[in-house]
Amino acid sequence: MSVAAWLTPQLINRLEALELSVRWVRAGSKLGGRFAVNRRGSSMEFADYAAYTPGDDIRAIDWNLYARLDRLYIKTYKEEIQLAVELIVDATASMGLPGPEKFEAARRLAVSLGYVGLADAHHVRLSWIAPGAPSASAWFHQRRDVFRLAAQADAGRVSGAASPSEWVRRAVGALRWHGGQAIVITDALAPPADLFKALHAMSTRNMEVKVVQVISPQELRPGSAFRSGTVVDVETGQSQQLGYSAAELARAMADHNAVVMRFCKQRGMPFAQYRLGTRLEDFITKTLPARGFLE
Amino acid sequence: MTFLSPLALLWLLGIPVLVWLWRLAAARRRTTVSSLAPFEHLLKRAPRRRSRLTVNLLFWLQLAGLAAVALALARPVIQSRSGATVLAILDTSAGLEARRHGGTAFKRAQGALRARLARKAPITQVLLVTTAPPAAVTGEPTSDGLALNAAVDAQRTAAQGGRLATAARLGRALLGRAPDEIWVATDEPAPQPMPEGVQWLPAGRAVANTAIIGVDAAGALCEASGSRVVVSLQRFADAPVLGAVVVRQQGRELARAETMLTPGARQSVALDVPADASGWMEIAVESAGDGLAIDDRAWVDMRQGARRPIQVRIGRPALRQTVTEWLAACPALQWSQAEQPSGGAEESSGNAVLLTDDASGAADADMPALIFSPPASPAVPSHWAVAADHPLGAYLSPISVVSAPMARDEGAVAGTPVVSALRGGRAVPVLVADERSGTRTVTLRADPTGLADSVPLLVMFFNSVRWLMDEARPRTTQEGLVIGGWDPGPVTVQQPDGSRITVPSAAGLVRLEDAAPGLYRLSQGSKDVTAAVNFLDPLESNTYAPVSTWQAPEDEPRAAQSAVAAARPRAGAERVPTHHLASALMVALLVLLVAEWLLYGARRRSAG
Repeated sequence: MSVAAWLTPQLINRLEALELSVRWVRAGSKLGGRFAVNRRGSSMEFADYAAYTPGDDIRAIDWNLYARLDRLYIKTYKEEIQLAVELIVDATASMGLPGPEKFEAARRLAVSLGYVGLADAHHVRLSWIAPGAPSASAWFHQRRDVFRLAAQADAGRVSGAASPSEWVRRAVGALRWHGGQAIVITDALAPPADLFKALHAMSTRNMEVKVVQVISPQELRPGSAFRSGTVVDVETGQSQQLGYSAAELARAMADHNAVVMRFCKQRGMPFAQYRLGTRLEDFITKTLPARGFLE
Repeated sequence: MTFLSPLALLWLLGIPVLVWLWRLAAARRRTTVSSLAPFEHLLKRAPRRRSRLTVNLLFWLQLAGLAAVALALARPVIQSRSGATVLAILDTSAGLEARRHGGTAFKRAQGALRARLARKAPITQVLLVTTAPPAAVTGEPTSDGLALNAAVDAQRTAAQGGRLATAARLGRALLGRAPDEIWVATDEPAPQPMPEGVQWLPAGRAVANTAIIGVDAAGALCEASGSRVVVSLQRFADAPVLGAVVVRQQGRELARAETMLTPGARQSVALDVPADASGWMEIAVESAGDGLAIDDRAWVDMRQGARRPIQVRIGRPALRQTVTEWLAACPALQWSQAEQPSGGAEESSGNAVLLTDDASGAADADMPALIFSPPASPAVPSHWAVAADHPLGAYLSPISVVSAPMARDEGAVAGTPVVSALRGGRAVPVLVADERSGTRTVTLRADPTGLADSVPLLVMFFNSVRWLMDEARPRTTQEGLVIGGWDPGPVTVQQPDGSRITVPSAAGLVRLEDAAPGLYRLSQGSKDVTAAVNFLDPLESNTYAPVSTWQAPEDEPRAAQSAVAAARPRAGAERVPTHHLASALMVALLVLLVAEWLLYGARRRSAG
């Protein structure tokens, strides 16, 4: 089933009630959007009072307040901007295991979050973490662009191996990142150091980074799939003879995920884990708002 | 619990093999995973075991299957007195083969018994007994439903009648005690009132039938008969029907007669056959509404109708006087006295029958002989016991008191004692039949002089003459086929269906128990004998209003009595019911295999 077909009117209605959570805007925004930020701007939305200083627009002076306090204050208004939202989906080979449903969920997540962004009149584009030169779709601006976004998502395929940090390093120049919001959708099963380096690099490019981990129950409890024999890493081709208990393997996986989660928390990056098999619609509309992705 | 084949438990040694195979498969399995990065720290240390046994539900199913196979092959049984013991009687007599609208009563009886077995409690022990011949099918009581159903399905109707009472007695004797219940699957009417503990599984319907109940090719012994073949018929129905009796020889019709068959009445039909016709002939009855086929044909040998001449060589005048008086009463017999054979050299060489009081002379004559061996003692009354299963004992009461002179000594006489006198608590042979040497001889060790009107002696005399003339009454399926005069060794028997079997001769006799009706050809070397077995059983042919055999009759066949007596267990040897678990284990194994197949298929689909 294509992503567009999965995006039912009922789900769209639920997404309409949501908007991207923005903690700060450093760069990567354009005036004229509908998202009001606490920055002096020219929108109609009142923000605060400020003491008058020479040079301020005298039309902003609140004369009623002057009459009561005998001091000059001006009214400030919020800035309304358009945010640049980068949807970065992991398309390496690990996203194709243990089954295609993992990558399918990642694509649906990306399109859903992209629709929320488009509904808020942000700029949204989709890019894949994959081998080769980083590339991204065109910028989408309007609601109706969600179908083009879905088509782009449907065209994505998992293949090969890519180092997240190396990919980010090259994407900074190739995709001309200059801030905004980066929503990374990945299984987060890359070596932690490499993954952290990539996230840190995004952060240093004035991007508010959010991480969604898509993972299967089999991966969380690897002992159910393998405990002994030879296991082969699908991306690196590295093989290893195993002989561990199910508890040991599950504990190792839990430790890995805890490290990733801890890193994101320390860096102020919203982190959410989607387990395959649960309802994706509920994850989007309930879990993501609770984890600071949406509001 | 005990095992009937404990060595089969060695199959449990397959369990280590199964474990080794799973360990090997686990070590060789290659699994592609998303990433090894999460296990980076784990991989830095060596695993505790390189080839850890990884099992799943499939392994446990296979383990359970292997254990079930080993246990089933070991044939576990539990001996327990819990549960009821049931005697199931399946009527296999020939009458149940009566057919109406395509179905037979026997099929219905099988179905009724199977349905009852399906409703029995799992621990209920059932002993299955058939009526014809009376025999235990399952050997011992069993609760194994599959084995019981298979035993019921394997049964076929016999070519003879059967008695429910005999089967019930046989079952009780085998069980060593009264069963808790008796199930009877039969076409016979239920007894009224129904005995306690008896469940009647009715399978019968009234089926009209026409039957041959007797054939005679020679007429009476003592009278000349104008008809060569006399057939006795009986119609079992409530309406008369036109019947035809046909005599055929090798497919050629020799005679035909038609008669209106009156319901219930026995009718004799005489047929004239060509004078030159001889040999075995087939007699068939044809009528509308005939439900049973086995009683529609009979076979008779016309050559046996030619009576042999009799030579009387008796030295003692008084004895000769008595014997000649008896012979004179039979105008149809040809007989001569002393050294005056009526038929010339051929008859003296074996075609004639010799009546003599000289045992050594009879042995030299090499011809069928009735040897009078009278003692010189006075007549004394004594009880005579008769073996009813020998032709010489026909028409004699099993026990009767006879006053006659007889030998005091108990010297051995070669042959089979047919009539014995009980004297001093011992059985003294009175009438002895012998045919082991190939020539029939009868030895009478009583003096009939002056006792010409003694009915037992008279009957014994004419039975002996008839048997020596080879005019034995027609053999029936109830008696089986017994033919004497064979050398030791195998005898080839061609059966009515064309098949051949080899039967060893024992003491000059060849016995075929449970013989089907038809012509049998026996051969050994150059000797070739043709014999027939007829189904002549009016009781069994009555499929319209079957007679109940639930009550034990006084004239129960001796063979049935012997079967019951032989089956009687030793005193105090009550059998403990045995529960066989092998079938249950096989069912469990089947369920395990199906579950494994489904699970394996599901895993393959999910993997694909």
